Amino acid sequence: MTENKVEKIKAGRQIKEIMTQYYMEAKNPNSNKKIAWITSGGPVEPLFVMDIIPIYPENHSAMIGALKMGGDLCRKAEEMGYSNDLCSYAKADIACATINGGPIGGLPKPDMLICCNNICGTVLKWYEVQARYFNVPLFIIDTPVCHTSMAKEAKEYVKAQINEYIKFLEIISNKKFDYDKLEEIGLFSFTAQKLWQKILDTTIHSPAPMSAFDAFFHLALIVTLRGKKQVVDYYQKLLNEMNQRIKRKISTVKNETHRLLWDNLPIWHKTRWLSDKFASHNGNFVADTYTAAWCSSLKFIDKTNFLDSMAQAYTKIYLNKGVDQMAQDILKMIDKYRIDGVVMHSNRSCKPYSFGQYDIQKIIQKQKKIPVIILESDMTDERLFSKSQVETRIDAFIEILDTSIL
Amino acid sequence: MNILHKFHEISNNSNSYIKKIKKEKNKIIIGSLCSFVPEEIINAANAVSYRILPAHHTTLFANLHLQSYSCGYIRSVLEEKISGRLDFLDAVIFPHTCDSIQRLSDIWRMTQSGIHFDILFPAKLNTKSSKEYLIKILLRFKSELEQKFSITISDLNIKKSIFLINNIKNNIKKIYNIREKNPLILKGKDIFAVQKAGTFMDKKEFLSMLLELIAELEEKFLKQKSPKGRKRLIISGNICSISNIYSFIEDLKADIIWDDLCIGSKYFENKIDENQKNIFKAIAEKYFKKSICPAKHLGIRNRGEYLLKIIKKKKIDGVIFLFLKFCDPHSFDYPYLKEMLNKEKIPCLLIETEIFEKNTTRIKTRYQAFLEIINKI
Ligand code: SF4
Ligand code: SF4
Repeated sequence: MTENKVEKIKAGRQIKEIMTQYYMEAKNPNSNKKIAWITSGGPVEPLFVMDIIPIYPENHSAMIGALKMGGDLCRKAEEMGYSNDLCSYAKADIACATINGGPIGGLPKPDMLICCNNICGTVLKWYEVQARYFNVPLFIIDTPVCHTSMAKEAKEYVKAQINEYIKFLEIISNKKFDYDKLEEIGLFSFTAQKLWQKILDTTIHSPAPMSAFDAFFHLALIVTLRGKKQVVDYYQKLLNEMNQRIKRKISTVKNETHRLLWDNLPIWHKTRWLSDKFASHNGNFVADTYTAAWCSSLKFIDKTNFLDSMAQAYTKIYLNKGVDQMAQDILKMIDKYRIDGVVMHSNRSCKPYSFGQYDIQKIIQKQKKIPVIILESDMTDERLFSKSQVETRIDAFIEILDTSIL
Repeated sequence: MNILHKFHEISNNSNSYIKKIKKEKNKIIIGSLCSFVPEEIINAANAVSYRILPAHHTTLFANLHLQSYSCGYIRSVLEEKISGRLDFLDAVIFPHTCDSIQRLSDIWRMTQSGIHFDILFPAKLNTKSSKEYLIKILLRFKSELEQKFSITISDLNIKKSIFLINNIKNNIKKIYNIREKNPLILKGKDIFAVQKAGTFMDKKEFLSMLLELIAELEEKFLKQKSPKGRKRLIISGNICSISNIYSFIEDLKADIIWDDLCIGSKYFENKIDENQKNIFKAIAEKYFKKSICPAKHLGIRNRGEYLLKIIKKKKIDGVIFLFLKFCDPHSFDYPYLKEMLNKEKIPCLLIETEIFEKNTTRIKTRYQAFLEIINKI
């Protein structure tokens, strides 16, 4: 076993700067740009066309989780009457709005809310709550689930809604929509997603130049600023760095012995602990389903006709398809990244991501004969993490992995 | 047998009732998971729609597929299927309502046998494009049904079904109206039995039993004086699986005289326009009139406004919210509904329950405390 060099990813510093700048611009009280809150899977490109600043409460909630502020905010939402079983992203955001809490003293107030239910039904209810609270217009893009495929009727329906969305933005901004600009922005969006996929694919190499924990961090741009040239530049730089790391055999783990796959959202408040824990056992997460979801519909984007391909690209995303298709995607990833074991985060917050995991687990075990563990926790609410329970499970899992390579 | 006994008998033995009519009347039996199911089309196919209600068996098998933080309803439905207690179903419909049903549909398709339909209802029920989409998927459902069972469903039969089902709805409403004037005429547990029977019975038979019941109730109504001093409550939530809630409340000198449940008022209040020429448009429009399901979007305050409207109209003294634990759509709506009620000074109580709520004394005490508050007002 050779020890690899371990070095931090340098581009990390720049992403922090970009994100700080983004939030500062959005919070600038002198700016006359309108603000739209939008769900993570929502079509953001038309907002950029109209010079509207998109704000992602989910990204903000992830920050809250990473800074271990989730428990308190969720408790506050529970005091407001929200059940403790609801999504902690939603609860943290709902509570945060009322007290301007969280790491940046609350998000800038929205002028409109854009909700696309391609990730879950939770966002629909969550955005209704915020529409009542802020008393601003709510636009819903309804993307019927593709259990097995996307029906013709659904395609027409989503397409009609994209047009309605554009109309809505025209009215609210009081200006005409520039369709040429959409194609330009669409191309940036497409290119960024392509680059993101390439970055994720650098981990096909062994040792992998980065891990899923790095991907969780660098994902921020594809979520929040997808469609901006800045994102393309940044990911190009990150990709170059990854290629350099491959050449110099630099990894994030000293001895990459077990190549692992992570399923579901990260446990934001425990990423450091988890990555150290697995690294100490020579385990490296070289792939994950969550960050891969942001390029999961690349094949449906027509870069020469972004507008017309939006309906499919935004409907056929990872969380909006059937569990069997999700399982197929994971099986493919297992082969592609040569995975030795799978860790599934059974995330109490996210029902559409988590229900079905037990069956996916069985499918993987049967077809790939590799160990799969399920860790029950929550992405943002640190109160729902039982260290001893998780640790025992991880230890048992590592033991199986260790014996399988003997 | 007296007609009420008959309702109770059928409602308590849904499976044997269904098996019997399946055999005797050669009906196709189609299970469904929620009220977003076009029963008019099903009925026109000479089929019976059977709403799968929560059962009270421990969910041993279902727990191998679904996490403990899924609602008891979806776990119960899966358990019934795996245990073979739903073997009489010829098909099951999964209408898109919440994330949990969406995933149950997948798990079912992947692990269980039988014919499976997904009806992907739109999530928003207030735009032209969502209505057009709904019309198309209703047509698609009809042709899928025809294909799967090699049948033809004529427009005439759909029309007849619309008349029949509207007639049923009018009559259930009649019962509610009688009860509202004099709740002692029909006990809560009796109306629950009627509602429950309505979720799976053969429509014609159900209607004739309803008419018989109404005749009895009307007679009783003329003779029996309405009570004084009893409090009037409304219940809001999802499928009520604790039928003894009614007796608890009645013992405390109060009555649940109306509801906001999908097997109750939400069912009969939404009717199809019989005069509309395009029948699929008519069916679709039913869902657009006043969607009060929290999993659907019709506006941001429509459920609250609807509730307040009934409260005023029916002179309600208090509201009981009763829904299953882990039910996201209901849990998200509760705080704002409560706030709206608080503003109007209407007391309310939240009971979040599991399907197996054994600790009934816990709930009883809460009802008592709630009624004490109401009585003080
Ligand atoms: S975590 Fe899951 S439930 Fe919560 S907003 Fe995201 S996709 Fe929806
Ligand atoms: S009880 Fe709630 S969560 Fe469960 S299936 Fe019904 S609507 Fe969905």
